[in-house]
Amino acid sequence: MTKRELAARVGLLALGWLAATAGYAPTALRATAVLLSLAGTAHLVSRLLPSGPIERLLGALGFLMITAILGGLALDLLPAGLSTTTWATYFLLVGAAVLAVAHRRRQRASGTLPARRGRLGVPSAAMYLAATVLLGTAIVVAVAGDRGDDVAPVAISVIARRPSQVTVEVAAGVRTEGLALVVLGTQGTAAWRSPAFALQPHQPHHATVPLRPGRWRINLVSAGASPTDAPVRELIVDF
Amino acid sequence: MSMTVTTDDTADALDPPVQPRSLAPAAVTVAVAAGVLGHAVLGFLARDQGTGGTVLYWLGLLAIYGPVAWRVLAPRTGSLERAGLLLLLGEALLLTRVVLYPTAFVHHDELAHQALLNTITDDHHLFGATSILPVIAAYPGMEIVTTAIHSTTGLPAHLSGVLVLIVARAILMVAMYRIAGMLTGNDRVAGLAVLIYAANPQFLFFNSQFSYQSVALPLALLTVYLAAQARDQRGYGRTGLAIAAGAAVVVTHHLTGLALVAVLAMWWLLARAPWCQRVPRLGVTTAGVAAVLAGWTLAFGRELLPYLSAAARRSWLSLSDMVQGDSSRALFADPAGNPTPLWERTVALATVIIFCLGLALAALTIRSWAPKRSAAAVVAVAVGMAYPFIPAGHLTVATAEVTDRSSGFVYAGLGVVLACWLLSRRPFIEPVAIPERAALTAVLCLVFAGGVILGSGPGWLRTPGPYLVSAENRSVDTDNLTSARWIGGHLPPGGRVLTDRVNGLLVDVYGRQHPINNLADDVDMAALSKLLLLGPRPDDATVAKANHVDFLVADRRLSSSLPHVGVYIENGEVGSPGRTTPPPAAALIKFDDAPGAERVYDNGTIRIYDLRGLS
Repeated sequence: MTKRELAARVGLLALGWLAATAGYAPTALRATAVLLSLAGTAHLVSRLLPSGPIERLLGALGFLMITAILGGLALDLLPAGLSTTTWATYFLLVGAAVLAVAHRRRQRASGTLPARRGRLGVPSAAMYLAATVLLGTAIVVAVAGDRGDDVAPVAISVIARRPSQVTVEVAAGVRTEGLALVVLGTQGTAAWRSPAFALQPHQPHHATVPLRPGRWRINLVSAGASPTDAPVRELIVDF
Repeated sequence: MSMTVTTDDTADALDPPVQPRSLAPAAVTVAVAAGVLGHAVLGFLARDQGTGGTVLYWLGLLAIYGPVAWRVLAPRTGSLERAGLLLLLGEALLLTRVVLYPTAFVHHDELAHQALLNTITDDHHLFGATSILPVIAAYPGMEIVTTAIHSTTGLPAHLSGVLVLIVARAILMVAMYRIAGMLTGNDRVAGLAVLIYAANPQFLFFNSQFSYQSVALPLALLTVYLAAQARDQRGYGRTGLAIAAGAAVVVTHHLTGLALVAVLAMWWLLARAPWCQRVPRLGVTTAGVAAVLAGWTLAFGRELLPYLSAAARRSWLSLSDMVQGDSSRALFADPAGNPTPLWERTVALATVIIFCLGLALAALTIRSWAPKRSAAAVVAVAVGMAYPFIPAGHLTVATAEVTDRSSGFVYAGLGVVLACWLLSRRPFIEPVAIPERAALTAVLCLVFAGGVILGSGPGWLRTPGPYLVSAENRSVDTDNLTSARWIGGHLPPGGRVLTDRVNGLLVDVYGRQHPINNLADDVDMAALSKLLLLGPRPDDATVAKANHVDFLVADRRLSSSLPHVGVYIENGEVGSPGRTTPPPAAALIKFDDAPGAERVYDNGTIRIYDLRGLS
């Protein structure tokens, strides 16, 4: 291992630790730095193994998994437990230990790379590129299909209560047509009505409903609904 | 031709001479990527239009498995390329699951493990209480690694879990390939063994889930590989690594730890026979892993006995019901009565027949193909010969669950047995002609499809789609996710919640509540489930208060259909087994009129009742 490589590996380990412990770093940057640091350790482990490329891959991945599991059990004994800092420090120490062993075995650690099996031709490279594009497209299509909260239903809920009132929240992931209002009691015999409001996606509407002792129904109704129409949603509170 | 076992790592030595780089691996990679894309499109269409896309589903899987099998079986394919292709196969099949549910875990065991992951992430410590599967808290290996990735990278828990599964899958494929290579001394046979292994019913589904066995199984194979490697090494380096790997298995999954120790012990005992080659320090490895297993079980396994005895009791009851002709199990149909299509039954049966026939023929001619003087090979044959128990277990629901789980182990032996036997037959001896290779690839595709059918259960379970009642992943939708997240944001954590099976998982993971269940709370579910599944009763308030029910989450859709997995809440609930009608709609709104009970959330589908004030 040359001094330059040693310095680069030390720098990578330090970068991984810094990225993990710097909470303000953007996730993409943080994840890239930490994963690169772990990959660097795995690569170094693979170079320490006196066997072929398949066995090296197996050894490196197995080493990472085993040291993480057994290390996690040890970290659990610390008061801080399995926190970001303890994990980052643990990976730094493991990486440094592997680096020290590799450095001590300067000659042996260099290992042998698998024999080159001919250059990758243009047709093969094009096909691998196509495969990469297909996989990328698969991920984009998959995430696009999983819309989750964008289609969340209209919901009404009690989110706070005080001696003479409750606060209800009306939320939805989709735009609803027309206006709605919160009504205490039924539409025909309402004890209280909120002003009409338009329901916007991901912008919950809050209404404070005044209450007297008793069992009350708080309804979400369409602004244009007739007194006999069923409410869109309904809460029941015992006050 | 008779295979001879070699204790030398000769697989690489059997590589053919260096050839000009072929286009075939790149072409196979494109086909595999197209298969993954097909599943992504399928997931998109299934969510968007509610279409299942059976043809697209199978085309996608076969576009992955078929070309890889074809290339792996080619006699001129090099060892490194074979390993790469098998790695590609394992990861691509895992990805087909990920692209269907790319942002969240949705299966029962995945959600139970995610709840444990949440506990560890929140508390920064292991062994916290879990609600759904208390036993998993004592085996946190997978969650430890996921927490490490999650907390250091800042990636979402789901993505961190997927990264762990990707690494575990790589270990599984490469370890299996190397073990088979060491056993048979031929990397083409090893490749075939891994292809057969990938046809196991759990490979695509259960062992791709965020569940402890998905990580423990690869580590168990790694342990066996390292133990076998010790013979080539001086000193105790590899032995120490093997024990460390075995310890990681023990703290990750109970049954895999037990199976690993059993295999190591059998191997060690056989290796002591005079006709077998000795394996240095195998006894040390076996004793080391067994000691860790014993220590761990004594220290943390108090939940293990109730968990295993419950599974054993269910299996025993199912078996005795079947013997007495009183089984409620309908073969080739789910509990809601949806039948399996005829072609799927045919393929599944053909798979069982092919494997049983192959095993019988292999057993009859064992002297001509079995590796000689190898205790490990004898263990592999013994494990492989257990295959018939897997299809036999499907005669009852409970035993099907147990025997299916074992397929991750049994197929390791089955793959070695069938690969050794098959490639010792005249038509397949190298150099193999294209028609024979095509026939073998076709048969492999058939048994792979059969494994998928046997392991996936009903067709509705395989892909996303419109909501179905009590149907695992198909019961997770925006309605119940939204309500579970609302609970997490607005109700005090740790409340005791009575709800159905899937909403229970979601309120545990996203709502940080404790769903009441028999395993964790030792409750009388027959009485308690009446609160959710029967109409208004005079003793409802008494039962709710006696069981300290804080909240009740009622999904109105429960009254629309029978449960697809056989129960709405869990085994022992009122009306099961043998339920013929869904609960009445009145059951799900009966607390509207109960004095002191409040409906604090309503999204049209899910209604949440606060029962703390019940009078």
